[in-house]
Amino acid sequence: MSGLDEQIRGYTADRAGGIRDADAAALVTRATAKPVPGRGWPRHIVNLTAALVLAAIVIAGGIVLETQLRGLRHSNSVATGNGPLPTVPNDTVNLINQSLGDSIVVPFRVRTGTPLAQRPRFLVTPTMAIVTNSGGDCALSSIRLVDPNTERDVRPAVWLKDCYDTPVVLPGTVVLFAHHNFQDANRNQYQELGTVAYDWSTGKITRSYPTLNFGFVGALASRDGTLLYTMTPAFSDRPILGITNLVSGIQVTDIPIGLTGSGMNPGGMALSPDGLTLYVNEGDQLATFDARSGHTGPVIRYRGVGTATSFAWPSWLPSMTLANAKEGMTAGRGLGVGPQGRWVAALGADDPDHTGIWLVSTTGSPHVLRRIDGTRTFAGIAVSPDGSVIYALESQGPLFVLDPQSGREVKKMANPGGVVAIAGVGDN
Amino acid sequence: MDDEARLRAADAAAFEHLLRDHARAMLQFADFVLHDRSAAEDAAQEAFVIAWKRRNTLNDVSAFVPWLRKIVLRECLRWRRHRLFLSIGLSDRVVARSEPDATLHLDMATAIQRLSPKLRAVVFLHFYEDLTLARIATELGIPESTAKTRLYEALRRLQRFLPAYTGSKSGERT
Repeated sequence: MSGLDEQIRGYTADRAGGIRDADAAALVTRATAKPVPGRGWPRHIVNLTAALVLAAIVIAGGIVLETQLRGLRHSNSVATGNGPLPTVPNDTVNLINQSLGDSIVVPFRVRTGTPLAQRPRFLVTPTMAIVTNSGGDCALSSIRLVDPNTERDVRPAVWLKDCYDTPVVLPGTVVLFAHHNFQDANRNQYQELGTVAYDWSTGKITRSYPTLNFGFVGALASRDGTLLYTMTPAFSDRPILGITNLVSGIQVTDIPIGLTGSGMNPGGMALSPDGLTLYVNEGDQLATFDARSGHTGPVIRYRGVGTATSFAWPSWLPSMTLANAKEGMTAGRGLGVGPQGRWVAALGADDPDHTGIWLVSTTGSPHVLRRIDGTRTFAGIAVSPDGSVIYALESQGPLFVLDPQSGREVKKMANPGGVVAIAGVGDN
Repeated sequence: MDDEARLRAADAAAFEHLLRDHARAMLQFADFVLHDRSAAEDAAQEAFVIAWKRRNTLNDVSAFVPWLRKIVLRECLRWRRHRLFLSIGLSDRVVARSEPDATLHLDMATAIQRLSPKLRAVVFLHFYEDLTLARIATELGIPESTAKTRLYEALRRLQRFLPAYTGSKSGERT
């Protein structure tokens, strides 16, 4: 048991110990006593009056806030251009619904604004998805290949000892899984057992990487599946960017990342379309690395008007576990790469009050092109495959289609309900 | 459900007995979720009144605890909303949302208080009641994945607030 676990258990026990049986018994006695007749109507009237007053306050507040926001938006002038807006592509954006968990996506047709049938998130082929289920004690896990439309098994399930989750789908027939178990029978001590390579065509584990742990954070694989990019440990003030050669099993490099503050919520990793550059969204800046060697490249600060000297970590950045896409963190978190590789869109801030989507030019001398919509708190972004628009999900709010060229809003769609993150576009 | 169980659920005396058996645990739960003793007593009592009135809707005695737990949690959340409305009505201060601040090093009580009630509910059931995630999901009427996400989020925040205790990566139980 960790120190934190012990402290939480001690604290909960102390607090709960302060409640006596007699206190609770008195509540039951009062609750089971006969109710006083006629209590209901006055209470309903009070509630109704309160609701009407509150509604009036909310409406008035909304008008004032809207006026202020318009002024603020105008003064920051983050969006520019008066030309025609791009047409909404016929894409499906994969949304993560909190109640369904992060292994299911709800494809959302943006042109018509309609959600389609949910499907398992991790596709190994266009017609096959991989699904893992683990028992509560990690004694046994099933790995299933299912039809993404019907969720019916297309092959017999494979049963393996321990828990396997956080799939990273590689090219070919291999999927990487984080492998873990509990050290004792009481399931108190979580134990990372590294990473395994699972060949879904044969239903067998083909390789184990005992020292490669990416746990809940996820990982990103190179296009050819030979390198794995990880950011570990998950709960560290000083995360390490690791590059592991999956063929040799050797870690090519480990680089401390200069995340501000706690560093637990970096805004994701992504590769350039040519696979040569690795981008890491550090929240207040975009760091670039040589994707093969890990050599450090240019770092682009998200700078704009109102830059503060003391920067606090933007805690609103979405956590990694909610929106890992097919290839780990490629799509739909706080980072999206234009299809031509000429720009990167990143959620970030240069001070806590100056947030937005930062469009960074990656050609020539990298620099911030523009900041898009600094008035909202976004929970995730993705770039359309043709690069014509950016999809941005407001935290607990609507899905926006934005023009990267001008920063203007192309379309706004209501949240279908319970959607908390974006997990890529199309079959990603 | 068999006839005997139906009769037992419908029987007021048996129900009151059942309620008394679990009242302390529910008050402890409410106290932890709200982190306010008097508010917890208000919410728990309201929940007990509701449970008492709706006792005939309980079809399966074995489901009593999850059934009551959901009512208690709902009342806790309702009470909290009610308090928020009151604070808006009584003061013109803008109350900032308590976002986690990485620069703060807090003690356990303050750190737990900074979690949302829904996260506190999962922490209590996991660390005090020692329930599995599947059981927590049943008791709160949420999918297991949501319970897991909430526990993960709570631990993540606590680890951020309490770096002195974060010696290992434990804490996740499925």
